[in-house]
Amino acid sequence: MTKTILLAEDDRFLRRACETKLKQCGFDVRVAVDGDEALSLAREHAPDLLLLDLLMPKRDGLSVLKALKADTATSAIPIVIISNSSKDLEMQNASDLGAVDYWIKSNLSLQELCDRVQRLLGKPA
Amino acid sequence: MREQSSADIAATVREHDVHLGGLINVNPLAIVVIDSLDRVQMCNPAFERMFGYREADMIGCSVNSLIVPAENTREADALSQLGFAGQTSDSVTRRRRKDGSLIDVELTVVPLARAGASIGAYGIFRDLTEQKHAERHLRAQYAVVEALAHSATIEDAAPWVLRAVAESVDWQFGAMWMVDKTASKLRCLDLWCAADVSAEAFEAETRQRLFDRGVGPGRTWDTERPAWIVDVTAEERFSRRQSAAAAGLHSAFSFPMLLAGEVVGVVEFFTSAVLEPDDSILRMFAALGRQLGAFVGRSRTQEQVEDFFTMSQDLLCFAGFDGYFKRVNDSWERVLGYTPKELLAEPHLNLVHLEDRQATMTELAALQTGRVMNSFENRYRCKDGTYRWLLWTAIAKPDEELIYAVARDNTERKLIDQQTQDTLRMRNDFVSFVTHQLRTPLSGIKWMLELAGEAKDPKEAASYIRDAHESADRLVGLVNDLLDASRLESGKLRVVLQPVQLRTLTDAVLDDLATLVQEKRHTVTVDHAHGLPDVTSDPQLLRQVLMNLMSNAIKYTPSGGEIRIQMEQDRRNLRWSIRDSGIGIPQASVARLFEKFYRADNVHTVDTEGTGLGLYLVRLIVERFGGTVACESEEGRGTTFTVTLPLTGASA
Repeated sequence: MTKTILLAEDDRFLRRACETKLKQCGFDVRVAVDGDEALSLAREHAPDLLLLDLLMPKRDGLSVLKALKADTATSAIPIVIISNSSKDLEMQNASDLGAVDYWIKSNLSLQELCDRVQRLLGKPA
Repeated sequence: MREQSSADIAATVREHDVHLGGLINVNPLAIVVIDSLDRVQMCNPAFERMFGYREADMIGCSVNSLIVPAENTREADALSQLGFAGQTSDSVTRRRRKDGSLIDVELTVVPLARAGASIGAYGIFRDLTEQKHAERHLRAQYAVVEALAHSATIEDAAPWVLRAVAESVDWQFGAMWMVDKTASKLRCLDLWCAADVSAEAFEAETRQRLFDRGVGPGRTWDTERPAWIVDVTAEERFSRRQSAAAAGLHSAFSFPMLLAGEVVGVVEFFTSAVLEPDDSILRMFAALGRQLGAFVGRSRTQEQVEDFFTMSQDLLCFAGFDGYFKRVNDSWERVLGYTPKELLAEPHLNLVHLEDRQATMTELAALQTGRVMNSFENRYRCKDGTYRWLLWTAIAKPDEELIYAVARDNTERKLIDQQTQDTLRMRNDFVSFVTHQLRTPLSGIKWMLELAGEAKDPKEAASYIRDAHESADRLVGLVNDLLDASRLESGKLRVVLQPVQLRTLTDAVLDDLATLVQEKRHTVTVDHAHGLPDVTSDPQLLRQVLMNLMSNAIKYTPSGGEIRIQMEQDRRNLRWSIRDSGIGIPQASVARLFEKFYRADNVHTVDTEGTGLGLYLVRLIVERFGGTVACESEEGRGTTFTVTLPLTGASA
């Protein structure tokens, strides 16, 4: 069974690159361009993993994280924060709110990003 | 026969005396026997010693003419008459010795009668000199103590001390001299002159003269011990002798005011009599000199403490356990604006900031149980209603029910601390913000190149490389903005000033933004008066200003919005404004809008790519041209930015 990933990323270049790579790696990928969309798609599709950017229009990532964790219907979705901010406070908040990990995008190649996703979810079918 | 011969009386008395074992002859009291005409019949050896007359020289002479001073004649006659009338009487009075000096005596007159008839009288004299001295000294001492107790400084005390001492010894003139250490001179501090002496010239000379050590009263300064001059008018070395003679002054004595063995002043007294040195006077005044010296020391210490109290930049005060200030120094008025009177009139807690009152009361309570207050801070209300931070050190004296406290105005320090914290926070914000902003296009470049490297289809690869380019451009733009800001801040940006037509520039920028406007279906109108004059500016930089403001308006206005640009001039300025119907800016954000890296609280609802540098650059550039930029906004309704630039030719 193909694992589905919801990718919430507002920067169009990063979104395009990430989506392309994850698909190449065999995942089923949906994308959200802002926080509101991320929240509604997560609720609608209950993905196997949510890759969540923090600084997004309309609703920031932490608020999406909080909302999903507060709702029993979505609280089980594993969420990884993907951000370019390395503020201690944000990392701590993400961890406190139940994110499984916090990745800094500029420090990862796309391949490394896919490897990590695979380790989290197991090989795509 | 009433009258008896002198020899008879004396013989009779002597005969009695023999019977009484020489009661008269060996008596230490001076005893004289007179007949009823006041004539001396006999006297004892003690009388001879006391008055300096030999008995043989006195026999038959009127006793009153020998030993009674002119002013006491009447009193002496009265005493004799009482004796002759058979009454014993006692009197404290004054008599004269053979050498003319006066002697205080207690005189008892006892009737001398034979067969019930008065034949004369005994006069029995007790020398009161010692007792009188002791009394006078006590009186002088008391008067001096009184004078010192009521004076804060030796200047205040001087007139009272001089008068008290002079009157106690019955001398007519006194002067107090202080050592001026800087000039190394003795300078007259004050003088006193009895009302019945006219010593104008002597007074003037005493006030004006300065004496070196070893000269005049400076001799006492030099020797550090009391001195006596029997007659200053006969003393070669006494330089004021002419004016002293004119005032009728003769004997003088002086004594040093000693403080810890050092002479701080000299006191001198003069009298119109010519008197031999009197040891008891000199002894007494040696003690007084030490007392005056100690007073000078105390009042100097007091003065020094007062000076510190007055000149301290810190706020010094005494406060009672009753919650009122008892004394405050001048710094209070300088810092808080209240006069000392106002400060003393109400409980000091009333001036403490409401939020700090509880903590202040707790500290005060602890203070009164003996704890030292250290580094406690609270806010005090100034007369103008503002507050100052005070940093306190205080101790309490429970037995006096007093608090001694020092407060420092710590407001500036607090502000600096705050600013330092702000600066640090801003720098942290700067670093993390710039980090984030730089990493995003960097990730874009990196990932696009990674995809391009793996792409099998060259067309696909080319599209990744295009995106990598675009990310790189964004990165370059950001770096350039940062550099511009930094150069404008330090004044190092090269600016080419020339007349610029704002209207033309606006149209050019609008052309650049046409695609964006169309995408969002905004309506843009430009209003301007005809023949608008040029402004002096750098066209490149001004273009950046317009670009930032216009793209903001487009970006932060929901699709189908209205944007209106207006240009108008007054006498000196040209006003360029842009009004949008966008999301607006929260009031709290408007004030900080032009700060570096500041982004309004609500911008993230629209876009996350802004750098927080755009409006900051706008302000820096406009100000560089001598203009201003302002913003008015209502959240949800729209925003207006107005740039005001001086017209070409208008003086700055």
